[in-house]
Amino acid sequence: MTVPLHRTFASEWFKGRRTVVGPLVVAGGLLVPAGLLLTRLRVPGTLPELHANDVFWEVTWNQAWESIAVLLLPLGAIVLTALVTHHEHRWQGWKQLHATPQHPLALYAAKFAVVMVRLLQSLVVLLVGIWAVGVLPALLLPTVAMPTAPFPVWPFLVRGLELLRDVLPLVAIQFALGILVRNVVVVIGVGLAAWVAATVAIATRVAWAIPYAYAAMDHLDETGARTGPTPASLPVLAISITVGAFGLGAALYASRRDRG
Amino acid sequence: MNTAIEFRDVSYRYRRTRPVLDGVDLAVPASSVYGFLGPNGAGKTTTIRLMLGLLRPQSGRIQVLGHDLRRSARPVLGRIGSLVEGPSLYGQLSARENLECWRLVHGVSRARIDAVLELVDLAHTGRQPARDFSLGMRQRLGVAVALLHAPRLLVLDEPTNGLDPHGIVAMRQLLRRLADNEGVTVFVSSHLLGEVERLVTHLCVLHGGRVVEAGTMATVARAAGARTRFTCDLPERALAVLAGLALPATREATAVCTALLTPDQVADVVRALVKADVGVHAIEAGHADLEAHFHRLTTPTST
Repeated sequence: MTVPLHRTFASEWFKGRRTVVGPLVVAGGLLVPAGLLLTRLRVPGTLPELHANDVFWEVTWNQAWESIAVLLLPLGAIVLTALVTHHEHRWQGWKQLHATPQHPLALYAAKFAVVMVRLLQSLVVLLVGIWAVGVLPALLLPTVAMPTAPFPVWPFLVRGLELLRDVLPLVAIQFALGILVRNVVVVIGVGLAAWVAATVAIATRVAWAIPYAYAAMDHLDETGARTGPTPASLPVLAISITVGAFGLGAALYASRRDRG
Repeated sequence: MNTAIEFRDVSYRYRRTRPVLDGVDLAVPASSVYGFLGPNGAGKTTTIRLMLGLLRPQSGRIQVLGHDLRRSARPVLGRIGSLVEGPSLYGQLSARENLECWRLVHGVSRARIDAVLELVDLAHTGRQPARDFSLGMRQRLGVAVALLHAPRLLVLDEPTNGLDPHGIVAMRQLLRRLADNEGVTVFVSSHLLGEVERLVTHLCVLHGGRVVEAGTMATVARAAGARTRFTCDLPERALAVLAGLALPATREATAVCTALLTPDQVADVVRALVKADVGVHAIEAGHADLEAHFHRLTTPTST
């Protein structure tokens, strides 16, 4: 009898306990809001006016995403994916996993789902962090009031999900590499090289061909900066490449002759 | 089903190397404790990986618990517990948490975790992460993982690696108990004869990818030169009695010696000797020098 997918996922999720993945998600989600908060607290005189601004949250969101979209999200996704996929290589778990009645595609999908859930967690942490950037100065400084504008949870959540969608091709490619290649240095090295190439090429005609900077392209497009042309919309490209990379990686993994 | 594992003319090679397995035939009886012996590089682990579906068969036929592995091993893997080339443990997790990972996969009750932790004497380890375990503790936890879902077949690759003498005895007792009381078939590989000879009911010796000896322990002991010795008052008459039973024997002073006999054969011989008025003073089952036999079988000139 083949193990149902939900049990495979439960097991994969459980084995992430007490790894650095959880702290990394929290630290990654809070890093930029913390930096933004400290920067603002250094010049408290500007805060009362800023907090009274109707677009306070939008300003804060855009400032945060400048570094997240270009730097933190792709690099964080590369490291997060490598940590999750390297777990079995590190502890020589593949042979034991493959000696259980779990379908290889279920294993592949469950591990991918773990990465996805971790990314969603980091988005939630980021939203909390951005909210704290508005709330904490008002609690710490008597001269600063709470932001007058309500915190736009749903618009931010939707926009955050859009940017996570942009990073999915990177995750799918890095995930396939991490599953298929034992050496984590190679996996992270390839990811970093591809990210550097994508960042350098971001305003060129070939930018779309290196999907490691789609989140940055999306963010820059929204802020009016110039990015390279794309043969289709970014969402279509991102989803297509994700499906392709996931399918190819899963097929290569499932068809391996040597399973540990 | 009388045979738990069956290999028929199985060969395997990795890429362009010479065959690691070359026409291997195996028949592991159900509920036996089957020792799979061979020097390093003989092909033991490859055989185990084939029977667990970790490698795809290239030629020959493999049946495990009645299931043909040519298509997929998955339907039968839920009934097999395994430990291959050392335990696969997640170092940051405790023994209990490691078992919980596999419990979630197999869908067994939490009580099984307590049961197997007791069995392998690791119930006291609490929250200690597995990376801090000694080699022997890791090995025992690996066996606990293999036992968690109460499998019908246990496939253990060098399970006593790293165990101290007390641990080896405890492991031997555990495996015999599983076979004798619960009918579990235990397949144990080792490169140390002394480790398996007191544990197994059957033995197979692999060398250079080929089976060079296989059978019950008695058969193997006989092949190694083990004898049954009857000390009696009329050895010449005893020789004639044994000849009448079609058992070739030789005389040694006041004794006659035959190849190692089964308990039933010993009873038959004693009955016949007594009937012929031969006084039997002692019966000894002579120990074969299995070590020397194994060495003979696995030296390069023996193939």
